Amino acid sequence: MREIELIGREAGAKAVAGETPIADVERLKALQCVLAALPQKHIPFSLAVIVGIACLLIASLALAVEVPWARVQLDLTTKAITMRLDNGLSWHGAWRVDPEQVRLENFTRIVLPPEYGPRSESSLELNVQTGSVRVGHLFFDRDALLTMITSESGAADLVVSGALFRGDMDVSGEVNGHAGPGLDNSLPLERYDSETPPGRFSFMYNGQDVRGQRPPFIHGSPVEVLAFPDIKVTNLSFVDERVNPERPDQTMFTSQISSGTITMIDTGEQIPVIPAAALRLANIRGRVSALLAPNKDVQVKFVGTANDVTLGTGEFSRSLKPTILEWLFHQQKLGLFWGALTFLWGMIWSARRLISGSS
Amino acid sequence: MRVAGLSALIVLLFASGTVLPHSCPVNLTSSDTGFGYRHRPMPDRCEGLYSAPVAGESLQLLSFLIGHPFDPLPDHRLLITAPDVQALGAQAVTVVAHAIPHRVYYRMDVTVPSGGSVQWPLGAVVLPAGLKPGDIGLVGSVQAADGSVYYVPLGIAASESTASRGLQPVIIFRTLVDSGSFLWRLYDSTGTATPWNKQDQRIKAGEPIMVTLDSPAGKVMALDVAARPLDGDFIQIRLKVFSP
Repeated sequence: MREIELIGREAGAKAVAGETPIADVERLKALQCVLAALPQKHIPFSLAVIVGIACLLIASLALAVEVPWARVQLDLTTKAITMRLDNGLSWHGAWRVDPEQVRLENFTRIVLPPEYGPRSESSLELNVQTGSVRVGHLFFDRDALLTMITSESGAADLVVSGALFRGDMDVSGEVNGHAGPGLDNSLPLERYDSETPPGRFSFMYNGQDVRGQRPPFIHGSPVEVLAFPDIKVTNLSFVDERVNPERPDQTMFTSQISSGTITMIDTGEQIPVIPAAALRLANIRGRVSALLAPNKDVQVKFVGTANDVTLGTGEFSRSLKPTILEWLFHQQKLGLFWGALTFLWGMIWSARRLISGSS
Repeated sequence: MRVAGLSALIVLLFASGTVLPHSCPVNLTSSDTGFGYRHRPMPDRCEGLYSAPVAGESLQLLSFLIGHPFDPLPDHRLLITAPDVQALGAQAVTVVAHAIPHRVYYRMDVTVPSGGSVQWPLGAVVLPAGLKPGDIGLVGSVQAADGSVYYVPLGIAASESTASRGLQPVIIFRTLVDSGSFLWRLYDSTGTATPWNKQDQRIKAGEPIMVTLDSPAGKVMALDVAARPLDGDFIQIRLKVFSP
């Protein structure tokens, strides 16, 4: 091609100069014949169609298929939260509860202070006058299923199953109470005055769940905040089991979420959560901070990943996970921009070649 | 040839696993100095300085020893001896060492077989890091199958022949807050409580509090320890103590 152009220019110059470029014209003809005889390098139309369809298919899939894992942040207020612990959780502090309303039930062993003699019970109810009740230490072993539930009365339950759970509770004042599996044995009155250390009740559950038996729990009305700032979890739900008043033989699992926001970290999308919204999270991994304040619902923050984030139930359920294209758009902005630009340029260029037939 | 090369690579990868660093029982931010907390051989242990404080209880157990750490010249090696704990259903004692002075972040973790001993090379970290052996407390514990933790006194001596026998174990605590009183009582965990022993003097935060325990042999005893902060409620811990 270049040689044809070169010879053409030379022939033109010669013609302008008054010469007759017969030799150049002959050579031009010969070169054009050779060029015409060469096989053409045109991309077949069918291949272009296949590539185009493949591109459309990939784009459609990216538009329709969700990413396998989504990063999610939850800021919720809920009456119930259940979480499976990924690591052992040890908490030290002083969580005061209303001394007139404290129950520990279904433990493997509750060791009473030595003032009661060598005595251990499975359940205990305390009624303390002019004193205080403080939970000082809690330990939940790895894989424990921990549930925190609040009620309208301001009371809260900490329910644990599936793993070792132990803790200590310090009691001062005039201590009355009941013990035994049915809480039907009265405890002798004990006094722990302000000059002596409080009586320590140590409770322990060995983690061996017995089918049909209720799990151990602590029941009390918080007077102070109980905060678990950083819990590594593998499961998270906000439902509670309630008996259907119309059909007492049936139980309902209802969402206990009061309010909050779901943020899809990958896209920045924020979704407000209405009370009792059915939020389903599957295969999650992340960290929870849970705060139980007096007369309030549990405040929960979660940051982690999930392979299913669904809001709503039945035909009104909606997956909140972003599609691959949304993910690319938000996470790989530069790559997506240059990729799209290159793709468009290639398409336009190919279309021009197809239409004009020029190379 | 290619298959052979791939096999060699796989074998190399597996073999290299044997020289990977051992993991330590706690995840501490190791100090920047050459004496940072990490795994160290001979004996297998994790030892060193760390740079961030670790959250814990306001009343802490620092040491439970028969004898007292010192520098046994010239080899700078102390023998840590664990009691026979097979009566508790355990085969080994978990030993944790801490610096007794407040805000000195030293820790060592080592496992000693029941009735056995390990050499503690003071020249590896303690002495080069400027710590005094007498400022290190050691605590031995055993976890039973039901999750209960039993504390056992460790022996400390220059050698087997100089092992301290007939001495009473000394237990050291500290509070992280200024306290107006310190109380303790040791009683048979299957019996009734004895009255509280009381130290009414003011105790500064971080100050070590020593108690000599007259614990009967072969019995699990309960040790209740309490301190009253100057501006707050009692803080207390309960330990199960076993002296073989």
